[in-house]
Amino acid sequence: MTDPNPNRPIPETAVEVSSIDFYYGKTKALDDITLDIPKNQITSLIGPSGCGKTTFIRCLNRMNDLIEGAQLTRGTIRISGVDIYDKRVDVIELRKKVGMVFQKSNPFPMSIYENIAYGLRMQSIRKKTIIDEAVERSLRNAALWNEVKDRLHSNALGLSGGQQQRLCIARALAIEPTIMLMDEPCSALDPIATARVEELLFNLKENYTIVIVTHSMQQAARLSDHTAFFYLGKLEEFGDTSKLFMNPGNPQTEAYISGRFG
Amino acid sequence: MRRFFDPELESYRSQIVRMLLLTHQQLNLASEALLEHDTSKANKVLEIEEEVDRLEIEIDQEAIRFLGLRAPIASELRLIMAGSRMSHEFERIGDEAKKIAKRAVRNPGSFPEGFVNRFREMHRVADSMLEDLHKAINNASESIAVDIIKRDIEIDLLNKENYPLLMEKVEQSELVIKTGFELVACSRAIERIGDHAQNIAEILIFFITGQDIRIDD
Repeated sequence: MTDPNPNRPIPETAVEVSSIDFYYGKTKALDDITLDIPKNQITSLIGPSGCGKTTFIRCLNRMNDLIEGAQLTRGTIRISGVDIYDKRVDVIELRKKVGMVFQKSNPFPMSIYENIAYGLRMQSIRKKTIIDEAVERSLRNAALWNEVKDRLHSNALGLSGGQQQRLCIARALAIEPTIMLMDEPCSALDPIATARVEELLFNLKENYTIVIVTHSMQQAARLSDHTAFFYLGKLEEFGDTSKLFMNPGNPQTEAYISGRFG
Repeated sequence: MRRFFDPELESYRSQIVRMLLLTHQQLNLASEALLEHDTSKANKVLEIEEEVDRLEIEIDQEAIRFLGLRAPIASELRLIMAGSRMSHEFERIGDEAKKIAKRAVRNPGSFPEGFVNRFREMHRVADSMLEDLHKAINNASESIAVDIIKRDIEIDLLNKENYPLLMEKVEQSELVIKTGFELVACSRAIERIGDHAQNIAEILIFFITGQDIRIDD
C-alpha cells in the first residue's frame, strides 16, 4: 500500500528511547528497546499481557522508581534532549511534564473542581482566578465542561465511568504536561464513552504527544499514528499504524493483531 | 456524536459521486461523438478516462485502508463495500463509453436512420438511469433505485432490434460490413452501460437497506 501522502514531513521526536534494559529484581522485563516517539502524534503500544508495554510506559515518567528492586540497567530515555534517568533530574518536575492516566479512573473523593485544583495547589498556586481558569480550561480540553459546568462542586465519584476517566484526563491536563501516557484508558468504558475519549485524544494530539497502551486492536488501528508491538519484553515491530495493521513486517505481529497468537 | 474519521467517509462518498458525474459525461459525449461525427467529443471521452481509472484505484485503496484501520460496522461498512463495488461498475461504464468514442472516430460516414433512432433512444434511457442514480445516491432513495433497475429492459430490447436491422442493411449492401459490426458494438456498449447502471442501483439498495437483491434475480 502506498503512502497516501508521501511528501508529509517527518515528525519531530518527543521521546528518544535508546537500548534500554529494565529489571524487576532479577527478572528482565524489557530487553534492548529502542524507539523514537513522535511529537504531537498518538503512539499505541500493543502486545499480550506481560509483554512489557506497561513497564515501558511507566519508564517514561519514572513511575517504576516507586517499585522496590525495579531498575533501568542499560540505555537512555531522553525527553527534550535530557536523560530523564540522570541523577540531577527532579522526578516531580518530570511527572508534571509527562502526565499519566490509568486503566481504572481514580478521581479523588472530593468535588469535580477540587480534583483539578488539587494539582495546582500542590504547586503552590493559590489565586482563585488562576485556579478557576485552569479548571475550566482543563475541563473544556477534556470535553467534559458542558456536562459538569453546573455541578462543579458535586462529588466527582457521582460521575459516570466515562466522565470520571475524562475528569482524570482533565486533572492531568491541568498541570500542563507536554506528554500524556495512558494505560488502557478505555478498557472499563462502554462504546459511547470510549468514542468520547478517542475523540478527545484525537483532538489533544494537536498540543500533546500521546502514548497509549491498549488491548483493543481496533482502537490502536483507528486512533494511533504509530504502533509498537511488544512481545516477551522485546520490541518486535514499530512503525506507521497503517503499515503495521495493513501489512505487518513481522509474522508475530500479524499473528497477534489477527488473534491467531499462540 | 461526530467522529474524527467522518471527513474520511465524506471524502470517500464524494469520490464515488465524482465517478458517477464523470462517467455520465463520458456516456453523453460518446453518444454525441458517434451521432454527430464529432472527433473532439470522442477525444474528450478518452481524456476523462484517465481520471476515472485513477479514481477507481483511489477508492479501492481507501476502502482497504478504512476497513483495515477504522473497523467500520453497519452503514459505514455498507458504504465502504458499496463504494468499492460501485467504483468498478463506473469504471466499466467509462470503458464502454470509450468503445463508442473510438468507433465514432473510425466511422465518419452516415448511419442507417433506424439505427440512429434506436441508438438515440437507448442513450436517452441510459442517460436517465445515470441522472436518477445521482438523485438516488444523494437522497439515499430505494424507490428511485428500484425504478432505475426496471428501465434496463428497455435498452436490452432496443439493442436486440439493432442487430437484425444492421445485418439486413449489410446484406442489402446499404452498409459496409465493417461499419455494420462497429455499430452493433456501439449498440452493445450502450446496452452494457444500462447493465452497469442496473448493477449500481442494486448495490445502492444494498447500501440503503442491507438487502442483496441480486438473490431475487
